[in-house]
Amino acid sequence: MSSPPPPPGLELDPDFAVRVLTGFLRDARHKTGLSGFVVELSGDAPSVLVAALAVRAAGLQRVHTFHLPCGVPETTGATAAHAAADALGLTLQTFDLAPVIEALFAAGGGPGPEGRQRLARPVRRLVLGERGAALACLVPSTATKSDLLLGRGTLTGDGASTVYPLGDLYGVQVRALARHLELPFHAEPRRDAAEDSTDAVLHQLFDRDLAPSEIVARGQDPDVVDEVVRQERRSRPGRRPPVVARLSTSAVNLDLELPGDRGDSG
Amino acid sequence: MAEQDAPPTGAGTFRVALAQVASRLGEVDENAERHLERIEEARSHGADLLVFPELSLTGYRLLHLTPRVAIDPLSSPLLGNLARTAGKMAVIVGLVERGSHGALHNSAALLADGAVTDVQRKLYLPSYGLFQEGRFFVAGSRPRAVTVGGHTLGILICEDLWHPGPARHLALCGAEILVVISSGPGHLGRDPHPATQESWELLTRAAALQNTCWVTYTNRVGWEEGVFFPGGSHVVAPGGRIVARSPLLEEHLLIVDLDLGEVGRLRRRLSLLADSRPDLEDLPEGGGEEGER
Repeated sequence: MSSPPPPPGLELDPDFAVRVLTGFLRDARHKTGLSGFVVELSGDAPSVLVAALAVRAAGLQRVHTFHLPCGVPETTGATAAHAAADALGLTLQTFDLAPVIEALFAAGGGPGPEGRQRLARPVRRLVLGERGAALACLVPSTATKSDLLLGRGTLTGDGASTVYPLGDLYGVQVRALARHLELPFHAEPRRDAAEDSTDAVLHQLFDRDLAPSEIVARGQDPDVVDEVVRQERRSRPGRRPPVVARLSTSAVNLDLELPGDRGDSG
Repeated sequence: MAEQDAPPTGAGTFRVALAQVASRLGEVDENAERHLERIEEARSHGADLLVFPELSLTGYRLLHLTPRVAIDPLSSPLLGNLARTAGKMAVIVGLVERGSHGALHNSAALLADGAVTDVQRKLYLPSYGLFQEGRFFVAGSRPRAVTVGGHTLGILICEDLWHPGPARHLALCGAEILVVISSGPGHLGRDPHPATQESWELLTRAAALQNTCWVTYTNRVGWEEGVFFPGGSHVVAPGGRIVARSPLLEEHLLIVDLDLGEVGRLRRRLSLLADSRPDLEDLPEGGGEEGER
C-alpha cells in the first residue's frame, strides 16, 4: 500500500476531509429518507474508502457491501475486499456474475477480456441498483475526479449513481485518505504510479488552469500530457447532462435548472 | 420570558447573537419555524441583535426556484410574525425580495420594534465558478447605514465584502459595526479547516482594521447539491483581532458582547476614516487611469 503522498497542491487535512465527506453522505441519506448505503467492495482504494465513509455516516447496520466477480481478469482483489470488510466490521456478500457475463458475451460481446469488462460494468450496476432498491439504500458511486474527467465513470457503469462522495478527489488523494484511516486496499504500484502522473496533469489542467504546453514546460512527460488531454476531451460529452433537443423556453437542464435538494413547500 | 434572567449588558455594550443555521433549500415555512426557535433562544440570552445568514429563509442555490420563494418584505406576514416574536430585539434575516417590475433581489431585512424597518439589497452578484446570482437577481444600488438601539450598523451581503468600497462607505456613514451575512461555500485545503475560512477571516480582519469598527460574520452550514457551507461565523474587534468563533460544520448560536466604546477609542488613535480621501478612493469606470491598463 505504499505510495507517495499527494503532490503539492493536492494535500488535504485527512481528518477534516473525512468529516466533510461523512457529512455529505449523512446529508444525502437524510434528504432522500433512505435507510443506508449499498457499496460494491471491489477491494480498490475508492471502494474501501466509500464503505468506510458510509459506515461513519449511517452506522454498520445500515451499510451493505457486495463483491461482484464477473469471471474476467480483476484489477483488484477479492482478498483485499474481504480484508477491508473485516477491518470495518462489515459482512461482505459475494454474487458471482460470471454466468451472466458469459451469456451476454455469447449474445454478442466484443473480442477479448475488454469486451467482457465492458459488459461487466453495467451488469454490476444493475445488481447494485436492484439491491439498493430492495434495501431502500443509496448506491454511492466510487468514481473519483480522475475517473470523471477521463470518462472511466461511464454512464452505464460507475457513473450511474446519484451521489459521488469521491467525485472531487483525485485517485492519489483517495489513496492517501484510505491510508490515513488504516484501511486495507488492493494496490498495484505500477498502475498507481501511472495514475499519479495522470492526476498531476489533470490537477495542473483544471485546478491550476495551465495550458498543456505550460505543463510540459514544468517537466511533465509530453506523451503523458498529450494522452491525458486526448482522453479528457473525448470523455466530455459523457460528463454533461443528457443532451435535450430544445423546442421550448423551458428545456430541462438548459432553460430550467431545478435543484434536486429542494423541498416541496417553496 | 427568560430574557429577564439573562445577564444585562453594560453601558456602551451591544450584545449580538450570530445564528449559524442550516437552511433547507426552498422550504420557507420550515426555515421560518427554525428562525422563530433561534429568536426565542437569542432573546433568552438578552441579545440586542440577532443575525441570520444570507438567504436564511430560502436556502442559497435556488436557480429557477428563485421567483417562487420571493416575498415582499414590507407586506410579508411571515416577516411580520418574526418581527413581533423578536420584540425589542433587532433581527437581520436573509431572503429573496420581490422588487418592482418583476425584479428579484438577494436582500437582508432588518426587523426592529416588531416591524420590518429596512431592506438592503446585495450590491455585488457573483456569477463565476459555481455562482449564478447574476442570472436570477438584480443588484442593489448603494449601501446604506441603519440604526439599531441608537447605534449605527452597516449590512453587507457576502460578496459585498470582497470589494472594499461598500465597507468603507458604510464606515464613513458612521457604522460602528459591519454586519456581514453569507452563504459562503467551503472547499478543502491542507489545514484542518476549509481553505475558504482563511479568506473570510482575512477579509473581515482587514475590514475591521481599515474601517476601525467591529465586524460580525455570519455564515450558514449544511449541504446543497453537493456544496457544503462550513459555518465559521466569527466576530472581529476594531483593529482586526478575532474575539469569538462558532465551530465549523454545525449549527450554533454565538453570543458576543461588543464594547462599542472601542470604536471611538481606536478611531482617535488611528484616524484612517478621518484621513479618508474619497477623491482617491472613488475609482473611475474601468478601474484605472487611461494609459495604465
